[in-house]
Amino acid sequence: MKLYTTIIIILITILGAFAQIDQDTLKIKEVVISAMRSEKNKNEIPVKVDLISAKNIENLAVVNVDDIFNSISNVYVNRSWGPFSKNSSVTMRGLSSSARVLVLLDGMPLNMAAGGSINWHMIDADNVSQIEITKGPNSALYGNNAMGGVISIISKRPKSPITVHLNSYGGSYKTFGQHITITGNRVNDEKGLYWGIKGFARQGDGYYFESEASRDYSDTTTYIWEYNTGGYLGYQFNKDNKIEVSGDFYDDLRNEGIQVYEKDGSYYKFTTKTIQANYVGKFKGFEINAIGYRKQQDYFNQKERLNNFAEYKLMESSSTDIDEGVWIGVNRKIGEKHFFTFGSDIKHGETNYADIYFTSYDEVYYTGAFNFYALFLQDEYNLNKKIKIVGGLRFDKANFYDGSFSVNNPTSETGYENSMHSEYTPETWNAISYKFATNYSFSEKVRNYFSVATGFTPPKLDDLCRSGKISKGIKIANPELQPEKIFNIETGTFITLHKLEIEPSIYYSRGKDFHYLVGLGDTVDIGGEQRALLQKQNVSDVEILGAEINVKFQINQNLNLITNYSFNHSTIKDYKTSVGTELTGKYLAEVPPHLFYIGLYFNHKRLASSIAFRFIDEQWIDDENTLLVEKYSIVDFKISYQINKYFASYIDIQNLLDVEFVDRKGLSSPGRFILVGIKTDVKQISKKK
Amino acid sequence: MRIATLYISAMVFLFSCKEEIPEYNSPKLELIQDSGYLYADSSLYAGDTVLVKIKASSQSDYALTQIHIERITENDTITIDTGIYNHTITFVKKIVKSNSDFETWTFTASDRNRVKSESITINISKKEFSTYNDIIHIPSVLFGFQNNNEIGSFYSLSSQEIFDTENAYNFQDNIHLVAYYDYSGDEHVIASPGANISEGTFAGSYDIVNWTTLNTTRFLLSDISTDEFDNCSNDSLIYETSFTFEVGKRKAKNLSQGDVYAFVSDKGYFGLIKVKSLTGTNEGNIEIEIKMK
Repeated sequence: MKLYTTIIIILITILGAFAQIDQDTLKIKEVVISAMRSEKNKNEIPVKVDLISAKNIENLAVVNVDDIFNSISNVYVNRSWGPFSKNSSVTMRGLSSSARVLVLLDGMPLNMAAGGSINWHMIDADNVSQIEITKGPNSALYGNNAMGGVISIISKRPKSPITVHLNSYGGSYKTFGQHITITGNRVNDEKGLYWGIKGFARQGDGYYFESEASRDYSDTTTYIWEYNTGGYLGYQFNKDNKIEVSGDFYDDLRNEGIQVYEKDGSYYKFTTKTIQANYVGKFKGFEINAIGYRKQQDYFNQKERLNNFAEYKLMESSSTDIDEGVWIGVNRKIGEKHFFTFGSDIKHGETNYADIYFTSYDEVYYTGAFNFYALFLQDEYNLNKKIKIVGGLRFDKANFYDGSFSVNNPTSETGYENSMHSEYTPETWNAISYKFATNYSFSEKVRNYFSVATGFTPPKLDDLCRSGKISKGIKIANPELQPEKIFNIETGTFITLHKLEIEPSIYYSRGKDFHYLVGLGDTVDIGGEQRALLQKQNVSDVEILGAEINVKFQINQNLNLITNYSFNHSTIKDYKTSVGTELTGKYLAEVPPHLFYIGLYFNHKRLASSIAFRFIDEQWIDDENTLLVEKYSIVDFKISYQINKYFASYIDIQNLLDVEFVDRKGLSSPGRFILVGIKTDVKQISKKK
Repeated sequence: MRIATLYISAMVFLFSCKEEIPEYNSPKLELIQDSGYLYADSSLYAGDTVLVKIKASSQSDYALTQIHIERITENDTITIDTGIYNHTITFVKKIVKSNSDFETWTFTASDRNRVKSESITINISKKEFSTYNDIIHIPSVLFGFQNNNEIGSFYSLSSQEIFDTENAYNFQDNIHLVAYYDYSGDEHVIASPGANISEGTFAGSYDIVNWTTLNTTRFLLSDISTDEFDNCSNDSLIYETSFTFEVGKRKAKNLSQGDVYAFVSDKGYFGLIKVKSLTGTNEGNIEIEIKMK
C-alpha cells in the first residue's frame, strides 16, 4: 500500500508543479481517429492514447508488427519464440490475453469470435501508416473485447501517382524475407481512383529448443514459412466522400520443434482471408463511417509424438472460423458545444472445429455461432475552452446459437465411453457499457483527464462449445458462460514543455465474472494417464491498481529520448467457488508487475539509429501462482542508412545481449536475432499545374 | 485499372482454391499362413493361447498409421488401437481364448488419410467341455511402500518373492509388480516396472528409471465381489475376468481394502488380486492376495 501512496503523491506533485507553467510549447497536432470514432486532435480527448507513426516504426527494431508495442507503456507483448512464435499475445493494463484488447485493422476488428485471438503475422509493418493505442476500457464505443484498450492499425494509402516499395532482408536462423508494395493514385481535383497491391513472403529455419547434447531424433527446428498478398481499390468522389474495397490472403506454416515421422512434424497453420469495404463520407452535416467485412480463418494443427510409452500418436485439429459484420458510425456537430457520435454495429461469428485422430478412430467436432447487435451514442460537450465532458452509452445484445458437440468412435484417446452428440440451448445476454470522462486544460501545456468507463469481453466460442484435451486436463464446454466485465476509473496528466513531454496516469479497475478454469473434482483416464475435468466458469472478481508514466525528451535536433514505466498490481479479489485451489489473493497470470522501457533515437541526415532497453519483471504463468518466469531485460538496436534517393540499408538486432528467457512451457527463446536488409522506394512525383 | 482487375481476379482464384487428395488404392491386410499361427476360424478351450500373424501394407505413398483390433463376444466389445508409422508391417497378435462361447476377432489397418483396409475376421468358438484347472493361490503378499525400510516394494510372480530396491534392480527380469505411494493424487498404487513411474519415486541409483528391463503388468478394476474372489478355486473366474493386455491400465491406483483387480502380465501371467489391507503413506504397507494362472 505504501508503494501506491508514493505513486499517487508523485503524480499529484508532478501535476501541481506543472499546472502553472506557461512557456513556449511544441504544438504538435496529432490526429486520433479510433479513440472517439471520429477524427480528433490527440490533445483534446479525455483518454490516454499513444500514437506510433510510420516514421517511428522505421526507427524501431521490428521483425513482427507487434514488436512495435514493446516501446509502449503498459502493453506487454508475449512473443517468446520471436518470429517463430505460433502467435503473440498482446496484453494491456494488467489484463492478460489478447482477447481483452480490441484490435482494429483499418476499422475491421481482428479479434476472432471463436477464441478472441489475433493473427498478428498477417499485418505487414511496412504498410502501417499509424497505430493508435487507446488505453483503458472503451466498450461504450466498441463493445466486445475493448477491456484493456483498443489498438487501431491504419494502413498506408498512396499519395504519388505510382510508388514501388521493396524490402529484402536476411538474417539469423537463415531467415529471409521479401516485401513488395505497388500503389497508384489517380486522384485529381479531389476525384479519382487509388489502388495498391502488396505482399510479403518470409521463411526461416528456426532454432532447436533443446541443446545439442539433450536432443533426440524427434527434435527439430521451429522453422516457418509464410506469405501474404492483398490489395485495395478506392474511389474518391469528392473532398468528403470515398469508398474503398480491400482484400488480404495470408498463409503460413510454423513448426513446433517436433518431428517424428510426418512431413513437417507437429506444426500450426493459419490461412486467413479477409475482404472489407469502407465508406467515409459527409451528408448534410453528418459524417458517416461505414465498414462491412468478412474474415475467414482456417486453422490447422498437425500433432505427432511418441507418448511416455513410446507409442506413436498422430492427430489433426482444424477449424474454420468466420467473422463478418457491418459497423456504421455517424458524427454530427450540434450547435457550438455538442458533438454527437452514434451508430450501430452488427457482427456475426461462427466456428466449425474438428479433432481427427489417425492412430485411433476418434473424432471430435464442435460448432457454435454468435450474433452481436449494438447501438451506441456519445456526446462530447465542450463546456468552455478549458473543459470538455464526454458521456457515452452502448447497448450490446448477443445471441449464442448453433452450439453442438459430437464425439465419434471414442477410445481412451478422448476419454469418452460412447459416441455422443449434444446440442446446446441458445443463450442470450446483454451488456450495457458506459463512459464518463472530462478533460481540463490548465493551460496550453498542461491538461488533466479523468475517466470512468466499463468494458466487457464475451465468452469465447471455444469455451462455450468445446470439450476436450488441454494441457492441464480435460476441458468441459460451458454453454452458459457469461461475459467478463470491468469497471475502470483513471486520471492522468499531459504536460508538454519546450522539448519535454510527460504523461503520468493512474487507474483502478475492478473486474467481475472473469473466466477461470475450475476443477470439477473428477478425473478421466486418457490413455493410462489420469486427467482432471475442468470447466471455464465466471468465478473470479479481480482488482487491478496500476500506473504508468511516459516521458519524451528532445535532447537536441538529432537525438530523442523516450522512456516509460508501468506498474500493475493485478490480483484475484474474490474466487467464487469452493472447488479446486482457492485463488483469492493470487496474482493474475502473465502480468509482469513492473515494465520499464528507455530508448534513444538518433537521426542525422542519412543516418538513423536507435537503441532501446526494456525490463520485464517476473510473472506468474499459472493461476495457482506456483510457476514463476524470471524477470529479464532486453536490449534492441537498429541502424539504417539512406544510400541514395532510392535505396536504404538497415540492420535490426533484437536481444542484442543474447539474453535467454523461457516461455510458460519452459521452452527457450531464440536469443539474439539479427536481420540485415535493404529497402527501395521509387515514386513518380505528380506534375501539378 | 488493368492491374487492379488482374489483382482482384487473382484473389478470387486464390480464395476459391482447395486441395483435394486424389483417390488411391486402400491398404491391404494378409493373414500369414505359417505353422504355429492361427489363420482360420477355430475352436479352442478357454485359456488356450494362439498366435495370429498379419502383414499390413500400404498400396500408396501414404504410411499406415493404425492397426485396429476388435474382439466381440456375447458380453462385450473390446477395441485396441495401435499407432504405427510404416508402409509395411508384419505383426503378431497373441490371443488367449476367453470364457465366452464365441468370439470374433477383426483386424483392420488404416493409413495417414484414414483410408481403411478390408478387415480380416477370425471366429473362435469355445470347445465344449472346457475343463477348468487349478490355480496358483498366494494367500498373502506384503509390500512396503517406497520409504518402508523393513519390507520390500517389488514382487516376482515367477519366484513369488518380495525384493527390496537393490535386489530388485539386480533381478529386473523377475520383477512383475511394484507398490508405492503417490502424493500427486494416485495415492496407494500397485503397478509394474514398465508403468512409467515418476523419476525419484525410489531414491538412489536403483530407481526404476535406471532399469534396463521393464516388465509390464496391466490391471483392470473388476466388479466381482470379495466373496466371489474368496470362493474362486479354479481358473473359470480368472478366464471370465481376464482381458486383452493392451486394454488394461498400467497402474492400479487409489487402492482401498476389498478392491479386486484383474491383471495380465506381458510375461503371460494373468489372474486376480484382492487388496486385503493397506496402511500409511510412503512408509506404510499393503497386503494383497493373488489367484492366478
